[in-house]
Amino acid sequence: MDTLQPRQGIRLRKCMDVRPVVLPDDVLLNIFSRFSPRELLVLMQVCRQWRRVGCHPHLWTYVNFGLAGCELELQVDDQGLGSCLRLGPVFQLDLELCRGVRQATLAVVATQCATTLQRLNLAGCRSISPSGLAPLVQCTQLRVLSLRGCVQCSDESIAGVLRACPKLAYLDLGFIPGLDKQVGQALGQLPHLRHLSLRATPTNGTFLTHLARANPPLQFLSLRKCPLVPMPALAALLRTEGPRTHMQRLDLRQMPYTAEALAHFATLLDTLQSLLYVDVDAMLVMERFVLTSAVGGYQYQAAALDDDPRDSLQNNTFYAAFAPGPTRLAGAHHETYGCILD
Amino acid sequence: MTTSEKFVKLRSSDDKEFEVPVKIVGMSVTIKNMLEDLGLGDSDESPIPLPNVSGSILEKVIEYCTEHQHDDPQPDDDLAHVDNDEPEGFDAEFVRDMDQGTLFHLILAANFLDIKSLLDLTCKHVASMIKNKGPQEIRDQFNIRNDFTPEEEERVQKENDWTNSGSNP
Repeated sequence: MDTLQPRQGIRLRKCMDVRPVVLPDDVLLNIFSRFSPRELLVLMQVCRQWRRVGCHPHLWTYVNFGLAGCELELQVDDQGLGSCLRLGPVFQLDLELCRGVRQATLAVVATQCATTLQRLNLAGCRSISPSGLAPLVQCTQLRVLSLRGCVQCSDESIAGVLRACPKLAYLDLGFIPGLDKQVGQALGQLPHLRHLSLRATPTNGTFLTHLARANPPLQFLSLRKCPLVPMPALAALLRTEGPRTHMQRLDLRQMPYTAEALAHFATLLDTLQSLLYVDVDAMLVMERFVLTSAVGGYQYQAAALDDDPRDSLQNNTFYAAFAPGPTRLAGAHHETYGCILD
Repeated sequence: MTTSEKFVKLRSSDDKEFEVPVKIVGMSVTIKNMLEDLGLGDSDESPIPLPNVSGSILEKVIEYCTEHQHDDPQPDDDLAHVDNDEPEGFDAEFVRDMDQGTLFHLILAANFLDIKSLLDLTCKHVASMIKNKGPQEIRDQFNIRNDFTPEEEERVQKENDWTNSGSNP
């Protein structure tokens, strides 16, 4: 592209002869649909036509200001974000690791797209205050929600959102230190919950009991680094699901279980027909586990011993699992669900 | 298919005529529809006029279609999914050293003739030329006039510039 620069003089003269070519709106839209929201905002400053085309609702259904859409973390401006969201209808909003996301920001989100928003990624938005999630109770259509690493959010405000959003099917609550009773109870009232990450949270036996009572159709559960989960409670959760279990993957890395306990646990797993993958720390248990589970065909994953919230196993992968929907820039930013199963 | 042996004549805006196999020309939805609707091209000697496409551009279009005549037809889902993969092989070669005028006229031709894969390839190339440029750089590159009034420009800038504060390289 830069090779064109040196020839600019010649080209300009030629353009004057021929008149500059004006691309029609639908062609511009095709071109614009290859850009992230942040880049679109630049394109819209070029001229009136580009601004008009840049406002096309098609370009603003999947709004990604998160890390996948920008190379650098973004400082969110509530008013600016609001004027972007107004262009929608916005179905999916990604603010992963954006700086300055506060209650006021979420109030703007709720005002502009409460009735349409289905997927919201707030992973790593550390600046949301304890009660900052309050505006999200208006976003009742949410199916996918990541609050991973929203470290300040209180048990109460998270529970409030869960109670307001009965359609939630994917939920990431990883790395939230404040999880307690209320969230446990609220989780028990989500009938469609299929994917739940409680990684590195103070999840305990009571918490799982609430979940077991509700018996949502869970396919994925991460309890990675949840040291307070007693093995019997987990066994009870899996057992309540009985023969109609849906569980496909269970992440038990960095758990304080002994090899014996896990080996015993594996005999229970053998009865779970749907279970395809169990992630455990290789160094802990492998020998016995391989023996017991050879029948069930489990796979093991050696634990990567990192705890970086940016190592987002889920964020992009789970969105892809939620097609259909606007998947603009799909190839560039979304992995298939399959890759976390590898 | 018997049609693979048949040829159609196309006439460009500057009165150049091209004789092209139906199979190749059929990649253009516009021409395909014309042939089907009007029953043109069979034993008809009169060429199909393409008043929007010049000879040199039409030549490019035919070159592209000839290369891609054996491709599977693309699903017609408009903008539903846009792939941003870099073009490879012939496609990369095809657009690499194209001058801007040709590129833009080729886009217009692909749009008029409704050849989705060619339109996507050329649009993708324009997108790659725009990437990482500021508004003025883009205007300079594509010879676009800034038709905002100063007031409008100020407003637009205020509304759109927030993503660049503080965190830009």
